Amino acid sequence: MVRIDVEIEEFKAEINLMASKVRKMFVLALEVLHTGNKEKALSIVELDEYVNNANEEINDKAVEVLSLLAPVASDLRIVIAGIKISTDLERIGDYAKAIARFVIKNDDLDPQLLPFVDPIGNKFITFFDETMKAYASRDVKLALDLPSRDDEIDSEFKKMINYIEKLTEEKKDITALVPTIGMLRNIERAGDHTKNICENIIYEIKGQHYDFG
Amino acid sequence: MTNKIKVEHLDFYYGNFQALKDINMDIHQNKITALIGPSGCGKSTFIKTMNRMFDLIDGTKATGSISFDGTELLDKNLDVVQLRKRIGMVFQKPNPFPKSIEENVLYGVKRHGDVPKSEWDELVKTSLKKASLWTEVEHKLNQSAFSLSGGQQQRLCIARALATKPEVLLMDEPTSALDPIATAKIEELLEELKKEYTVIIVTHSMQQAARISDYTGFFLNGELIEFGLTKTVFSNPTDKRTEDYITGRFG
Repeated sequence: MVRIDVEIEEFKAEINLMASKVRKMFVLALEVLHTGNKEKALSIVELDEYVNNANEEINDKAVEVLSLLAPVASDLRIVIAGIKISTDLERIGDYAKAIARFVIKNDDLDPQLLPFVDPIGNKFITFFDETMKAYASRDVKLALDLPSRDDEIDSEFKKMINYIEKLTEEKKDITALVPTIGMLRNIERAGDHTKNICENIIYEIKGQHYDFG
Repeated sequence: MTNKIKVEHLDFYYGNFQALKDINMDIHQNKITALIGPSGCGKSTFIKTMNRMFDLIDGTKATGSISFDGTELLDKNLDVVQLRKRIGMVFQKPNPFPKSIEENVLYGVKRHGDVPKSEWDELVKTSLKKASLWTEVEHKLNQSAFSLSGGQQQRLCIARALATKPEVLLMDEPTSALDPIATAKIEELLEELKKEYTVIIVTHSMQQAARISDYTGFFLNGELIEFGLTKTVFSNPTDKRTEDYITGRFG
């Protein structure tokens, strides 16, 4: 195996490891939204430290590969895509941390909106898992198909918005619901970043730019 | 985009051995075209067809067409001395003659005999300036060319090629015998030269091809596997063999 193969393999392994930590953060975030468990929420904040460091290490590794091995063609695209994917993973981690910090600082969420958490959250986790599967297996077809999953998340989010609108029409006070809307918005935004990862997987493999919006 | 040279269905043989197979390529004017590929792939043979250097080797044969501004270079009746004035060449190792710096620059000019003696001093100066060597040698033009460093000798060879006012410069690994600083000077010089000349360079350095050229052609076993914009060839090549070669996985 030539040296660049070894370095690229390590580079991608670091991204996959970072993704597994981000996934863990989100699974915990969905759990603490229900349980309000502040100790587990704190562990999400701690994991975010790990994820932030991983992002910096991946960038350092990219600089090392670029400066020492001067990659071209598919090797170069793996490095460029990897830098961007790592940034998106870091942002997804931030959304999980935002949920954790809210749970740590506040009392339980208003139970009215909790039924919306799992449909949105589970769809996100599946989308994220499939995306990282496409990354690991360099499956461009899967990466092209996946962004439609984000529409499913948006559609679940819209159901919640419709529910809120209905309450507003009925002149009900929704003030207590605002924090929960924000937490669900975090999941929806994490879906947008996962869509970006799909774009970068396609760039890595095909060298073509796709914009899924 | 103006084509300076158009190569069509070029085959080339050393005796029975076919060194080039059905090459088709457009060389664009005022651009640098880099030719890359493993040793023995035909890239040096290819540039030698451009100024008929193969005429010097017995048993060679070229078929197809190389059109240079409409002139067929493979025409047996072509005046190759005039051709080599229009298409100059710089070789891998600096090869100055055992003469003074000035005499080296004027060597081809004197041979062609078409520049009045009164213009020689100015020609020496402009050629050395274009080769970025003037300020280093202006006070020692009568000294032996061998007193110069390797990098300076190579720039002197470039000045010698430029003195005959060519339109195309062929360069066969011009920096392979030079240190990184001398290499950087030649590369910087090429950027300047392409404003006036069309440059074709054979190089084994992938990074050099990527740094300096506008177009890149990848040769393998006498075939032109891929030819296109350098930025495309080095970022997203279409042929897997090109990809394997430029990423160092060839073979």
